[in-house]
Amino acid sequence: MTSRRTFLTGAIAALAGAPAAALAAPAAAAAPGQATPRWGMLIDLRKCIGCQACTVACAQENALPEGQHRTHVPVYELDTPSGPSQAVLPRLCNHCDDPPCMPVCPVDATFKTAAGAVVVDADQCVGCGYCVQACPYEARFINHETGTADKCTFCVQRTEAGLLPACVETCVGNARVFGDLNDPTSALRVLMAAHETKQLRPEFGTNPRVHYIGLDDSLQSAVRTGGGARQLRQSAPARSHQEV
Amino acid sequence: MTAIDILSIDHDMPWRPWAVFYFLLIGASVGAALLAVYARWTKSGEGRGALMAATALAVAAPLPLLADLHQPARFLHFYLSFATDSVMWWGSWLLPLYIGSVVALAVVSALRLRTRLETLLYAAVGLFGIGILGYTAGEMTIVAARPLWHTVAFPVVLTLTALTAGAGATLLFDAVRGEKGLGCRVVAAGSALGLVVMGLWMLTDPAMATLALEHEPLALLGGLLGLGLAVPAALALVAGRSRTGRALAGLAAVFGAFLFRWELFTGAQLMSKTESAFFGHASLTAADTLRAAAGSAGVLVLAILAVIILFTVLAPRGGRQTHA
Repeated sequence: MTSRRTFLTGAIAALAGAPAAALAAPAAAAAPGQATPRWGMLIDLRKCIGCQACTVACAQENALPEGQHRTHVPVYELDTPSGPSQAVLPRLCNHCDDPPCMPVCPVDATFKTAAGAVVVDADQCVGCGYCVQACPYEARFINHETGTADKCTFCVQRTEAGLLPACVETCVGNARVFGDLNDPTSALRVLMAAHETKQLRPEFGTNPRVHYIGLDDSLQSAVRTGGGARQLRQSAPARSHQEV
Repeated sequence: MTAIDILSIDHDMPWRPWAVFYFLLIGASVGAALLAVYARWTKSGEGRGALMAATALAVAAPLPLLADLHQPARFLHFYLSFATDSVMWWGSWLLPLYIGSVVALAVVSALRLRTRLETLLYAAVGLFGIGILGYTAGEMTIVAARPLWHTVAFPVVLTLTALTAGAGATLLFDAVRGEKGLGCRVVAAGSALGLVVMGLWMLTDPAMATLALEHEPLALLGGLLGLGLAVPAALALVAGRSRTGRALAGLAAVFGAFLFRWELFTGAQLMSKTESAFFGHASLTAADTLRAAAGSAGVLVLAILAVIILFTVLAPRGGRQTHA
């Protein structure tokens, strides 16, 4: 199967010297004789322009309630020695190898697919919010419409059909690369081998499957914010009633 | 290096004010129940008020818990799963066992059936009550993503304030019944100890210091340390036989336990873990909070009425006195 996206992905990867075998869109269901994939994502922050196309594509693909997102791209202004610098950091579920959200679930609603994507059985979930508390990446939320825990699934409905996740498919800068971490010839692994990558919040020992190229050290762990949008909203008169 | 967030999204607190009331009611219930068990163990004969308080609070506790679930009608899923890795799953079994044993003990005690069953029920109440204290503190303390909960001090103060709230509720019941009871000593000791631990926590933990000094100085320093811990300890020490003094000490102890839960539950949840989301505000006068307060208070009043009817109307006249 070849799509415009896979063609473009292939063209870009080919320019970067990636093997041709790594260029095809992932086939989630392993063919007979093939090993089960281990999905992962690489986000090249040098290419992300913070356009939020991934945010919108995800919301549309997964029919999310207004204002709730499985992925989004926070924008920061960093105070660097050379002056203010803008940084973007696309965030989504990290589909950790050791996800803290999974063991806390009291009804076994959170589980891993064969390919390692962490997903929620919305019919089983009681909406207790314990997994939302446990996730160190703030990647989960209680869906307003279903009353159950919601999160990125790596678009399991698409990857099982051999398609890319919606955020990857739509990324105009080709900043998001999705593929099989077990396959050393995948574009993902080739890029990871060629660049220094980082994961978010390594101090939690969760071993995320989302890797970043070009991640600023100040954004890797808990971000120390010194103001900005949140502070402006906190001081807004209409909502300034935090007193107890 | 600091960052300024230019674009972030809004999130809601997953645990709403209902959770604060659940943890208050069930903690206070266990605190009162353990007081009743102690009274029975020492044969002091002053444990009836504690048992009444424990029963009313235990009967009321499940409502706010269910209301905090976003899919409350699915609560049976807890019992159809086998999620032994989850502290909350263990709690879902401990809760009915504890409530069932407290209610059974109340019935047996009210009907003055001093039998071996009563002794067994006291043991069960003590055992399951300690289990409840363990699960409520444990399920929050293990959440490494919440720095305010993932500390040594948090479960200690949560447990201490559960005990003082239970003793405080007992003091209120005993004040109405005109009895002295055992609550004052627990309120004095528990509140004083809680004050010391809270002080050390604020001095040694940067996350707690930030909450106390930057976000909620009035509520934590004035409200919790002052009104919620120092005042009940002082009142309990000086109250003597004064019914009003003891009732005020009890009320202040319950207030302290509530404020600790309110501040630590909402304060922790409002702190973004990744600084990529805005969690809004929590207010005692917000509609969500008032709804939870009204619902919890309503079911508690009904539970108190039921307990009073059980112990005063249904109890046989002139029967044998129990130790409780």
